Amino acid sequence: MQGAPIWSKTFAAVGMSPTVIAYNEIYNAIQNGVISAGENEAAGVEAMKFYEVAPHLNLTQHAVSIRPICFSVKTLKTLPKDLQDAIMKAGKEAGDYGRQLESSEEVIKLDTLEKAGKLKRVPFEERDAMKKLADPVMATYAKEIGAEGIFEKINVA
Amino acid sequence: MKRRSFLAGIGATTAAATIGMPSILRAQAPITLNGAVQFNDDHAFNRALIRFEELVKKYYGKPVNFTLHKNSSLGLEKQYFEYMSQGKAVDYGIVSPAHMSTFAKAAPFIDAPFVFKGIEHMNKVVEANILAPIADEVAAKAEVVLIGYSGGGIRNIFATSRSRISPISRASRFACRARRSGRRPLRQSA
Repeated sequence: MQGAPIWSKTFAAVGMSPTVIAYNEIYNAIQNGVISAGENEAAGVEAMKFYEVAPHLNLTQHAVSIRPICFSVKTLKTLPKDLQDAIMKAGKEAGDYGRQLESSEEVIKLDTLEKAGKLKRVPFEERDAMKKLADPVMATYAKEIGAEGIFEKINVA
Repeated sequence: MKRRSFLAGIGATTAAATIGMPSILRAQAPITLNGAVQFNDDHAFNRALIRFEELVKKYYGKPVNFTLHKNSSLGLEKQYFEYMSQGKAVDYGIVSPAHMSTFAKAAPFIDAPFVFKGIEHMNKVVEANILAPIADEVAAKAEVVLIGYSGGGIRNIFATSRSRISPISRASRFACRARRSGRRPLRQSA
């Protein structure tokens, strides 16, 4: 699981035994039998070649990754104002572009890998049941970290 | 967080004011911004950051250089965030919210399982600026601005065997099988 505790808590709640391992060590950990599974988006599965060591992709669809484009405030403060404005405007648009890009290419990547015999998609019919088990964990976590308001707004969006 | 209010927060007194006072050296020398990413140019993150560079050049209209350090040459996302917070080595990059928890407890929450129903839902949340309180906290405490939201990939579980993953009773058998074979069942990533 990712290092953030909510990931381990959620997957423990659905009956699995998650372990935290650094991203660049997952391939070797699977290859050496330390773990037998991991989770990632199609882009990561392709880029890191996880399919070489773990070719069965269970379509749990348990998360949609959000990946902020970040910029150093210390650097920003040293830049001319018009460059600061350009950075802020460009950041939003680049983020929108990135989301559209990654989401539109996912199926293509998985189709390509499966057709090449490198990966096998395994249907997963219990996502709703999985979510039901995870929901109380998420609600408790949101309360613990003071994110109930944001959680509610996200849920009704 | 509205961009104008953020820029005001870091020093502008009016919309036309210069934010802070650039050093004389910085103002005269060509500006070079250093980015970092874990992947190669085929990955959506790289392409989003290259699009970012193109857009900055377009909107700024003056010379500005970018150096994007790829393939984890500057380490992993956790390190990029630390460098950006310190104001050294890395000026921009794409970072998982999981690495921001030291500064903003709620940050990892937006990247947790089952938060987003799909890409359309994520788009609505981003456009409605619902994540602004988290971005504000990260900017204030870590001194890193979240200038856009990339991602959108759907996460699945990749496994070595054809064992079905089930949240009901079979899940424990999957885990038990993995333990008996000396293997831990599940692990992950950025």
